[in-house]
Amino acid sequence: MTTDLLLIAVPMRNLSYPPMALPLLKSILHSHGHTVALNDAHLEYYKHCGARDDSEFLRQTLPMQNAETKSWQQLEDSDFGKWIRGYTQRLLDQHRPRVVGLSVFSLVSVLAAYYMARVIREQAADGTKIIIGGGGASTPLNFPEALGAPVEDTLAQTLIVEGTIDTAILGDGEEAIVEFMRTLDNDDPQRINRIKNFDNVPYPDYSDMDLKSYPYTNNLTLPVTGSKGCVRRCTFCDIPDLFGKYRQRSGRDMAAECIHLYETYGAKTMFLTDSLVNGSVKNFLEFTETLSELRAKKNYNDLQWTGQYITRPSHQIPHQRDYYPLMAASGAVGLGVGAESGSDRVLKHMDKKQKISDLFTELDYFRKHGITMVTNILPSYPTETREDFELTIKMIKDFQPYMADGTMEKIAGISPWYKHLPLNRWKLTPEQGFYHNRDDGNMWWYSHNPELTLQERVFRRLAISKCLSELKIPSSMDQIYEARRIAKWYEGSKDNYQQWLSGIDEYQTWSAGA
Amino acid sequence: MLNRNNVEYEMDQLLKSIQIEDYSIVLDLSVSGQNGLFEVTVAVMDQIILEGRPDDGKHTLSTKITVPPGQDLRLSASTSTHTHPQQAVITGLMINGVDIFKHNLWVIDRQRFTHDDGRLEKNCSGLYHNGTWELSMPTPLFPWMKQGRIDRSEVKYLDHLDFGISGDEYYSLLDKIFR
Repeated sequence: MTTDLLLIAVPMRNLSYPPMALPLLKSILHSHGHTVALNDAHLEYYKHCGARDDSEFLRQTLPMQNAETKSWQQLEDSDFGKWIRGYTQRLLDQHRPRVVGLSVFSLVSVLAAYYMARVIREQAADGTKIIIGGGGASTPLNFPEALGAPVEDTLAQTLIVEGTIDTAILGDGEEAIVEFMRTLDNDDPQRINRIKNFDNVPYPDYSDMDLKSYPYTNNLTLPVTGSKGCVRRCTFCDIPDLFGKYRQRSGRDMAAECIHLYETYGAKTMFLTDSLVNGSVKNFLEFTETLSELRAKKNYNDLQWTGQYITRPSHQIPHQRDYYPLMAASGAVGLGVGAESGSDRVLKHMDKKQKISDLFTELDYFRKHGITMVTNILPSYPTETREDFELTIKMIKDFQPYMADGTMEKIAGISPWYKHLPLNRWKLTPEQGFYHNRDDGNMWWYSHNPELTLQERVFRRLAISKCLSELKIPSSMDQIYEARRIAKWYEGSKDNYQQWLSGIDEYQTWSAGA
Repeated sequence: MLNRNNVEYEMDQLLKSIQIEDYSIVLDLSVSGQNGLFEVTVAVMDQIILEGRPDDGKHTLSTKITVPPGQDLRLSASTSTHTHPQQAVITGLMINGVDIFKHNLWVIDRQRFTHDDGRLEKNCSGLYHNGTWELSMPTPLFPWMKQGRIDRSEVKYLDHLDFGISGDEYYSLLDKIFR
């Protein structure tokens, strides 16, 4: 008995909920008559390592997170390397798949994905197709030279060029995977696929996932996707170009899926994976209204949902439609808002279309209606001066009363600093004073804000950590892990960084006089 | 330019005023049994916000006060003219918009009543006898309150980076980047 497709979620990723790509693609392919087997390698490796929790696990596995130079032999000799060989061999023996698909969640999964792909190519029967997809497939493999891998812009290209995999499905896989499984061919592996229609997408099938073993933050949490893309075009973000035009699913259907997951798997919390849950106010209201009704009718008082949310100026909120009461009644908790900066000047440069006062007005509405929020912070945007940064520290100071009554539970994500990715909306050139290293988005310098050097960026990131520590404000990011990641990156990149800087005459002139 | 010798000093300078010291206090006092002789004094620290013979009913008292970190924020109410069954009960307290009765009732557990003869009564919500009701809270108030919520929560929050003498990650990063 063979399986058409063996789908594996590659380590490393956050374990606070199971990956949705696998059960979703399984459902879609089942409806087209294919057999699909799923396995979350990340969860299995977590179990193998015996870590106390997700955070300890991420710290333990830092060497495998694409943040430092590794040779092939080092990978082979590592605990991960030895474990993977046995794990993939068992899966291949058990399922004898025609196709193996690797789902690469993000940049931190890239090194593990590279290793797994090569091991599977070695172990799989002749003729087995290997494909990769997921957000990480579009990001680069760092330090490829040490692995003898070709230097390419993305992991997908690296693996295709060296002949390890057959193809990649980038972007949305819902429709593209069906076409691939039909022909076992993909005419353009560099194409970014975009889903055209949410209407006929079935609910994900989690039946063969080990749902009990995930270290959830509160309770069994399952992801739901309500939209792709974003309605904003923030300059620090690559989502608009990565995901294309904003597409939204019916709010009624999303609410029905939440109920389905609650009833079928006992999920108490739904994590909306959307870049923003309220991109379309009309659909968002349809979602909260439907879910409120169903929740009340079925007496599912412990059903809650969370996700990324954008702050709008108060005059854009349809208060007459019970906007906030419906959010509360639908079970909205811990909504993630990109506060980013405490400076209106920087927010304007980011094209955030919100002011600090809008965020605090929204917080007051949340407080009034018992909805909770977490915020993300992005320090060291290229135009952020020290004075701007001081306003970010003041913003955190002003969060305190909201932290004290639970309107804000914690700070969510804190970036080390602005990272310049090819698809970001920030498009300045050296002629305009912005220099960046195309091989590493962490390496940039802006001549109109020259003091924002790497040292200053590390200083600001540490200052935020210290501020949170002194104010007893928790964060969802492991600050110890983050400090180690920055240190690892610097250790591995210091020489390249100095070499890159030495090639910028304008920087050399400035630093000589600074 | 930042370097290993000045980076910690610079950080201390940047963070020296992160604590909230200005508090806006709104306190609800419900009075009953007033016979024209029941005199009540309500104060925040040494600032008197009510002094006299309040009518029966709810009184919303408010004030703003600055309390430097390290001092206790002390609210008090006292009377020496009480006769049975007069009462002046604290029924609501908001500090900088934080509804203490609604969200941090555990704070109210700190209230005490000291009778005129010195006897101490715990968890007394106002004036039912002659003496002084008091609620003291350490400052900076909000970090203390947040920590109190965390300690009472079932959620396990991640540790902060250790900036103290044994903060290996912190000092290792400083040494790498700034030396």
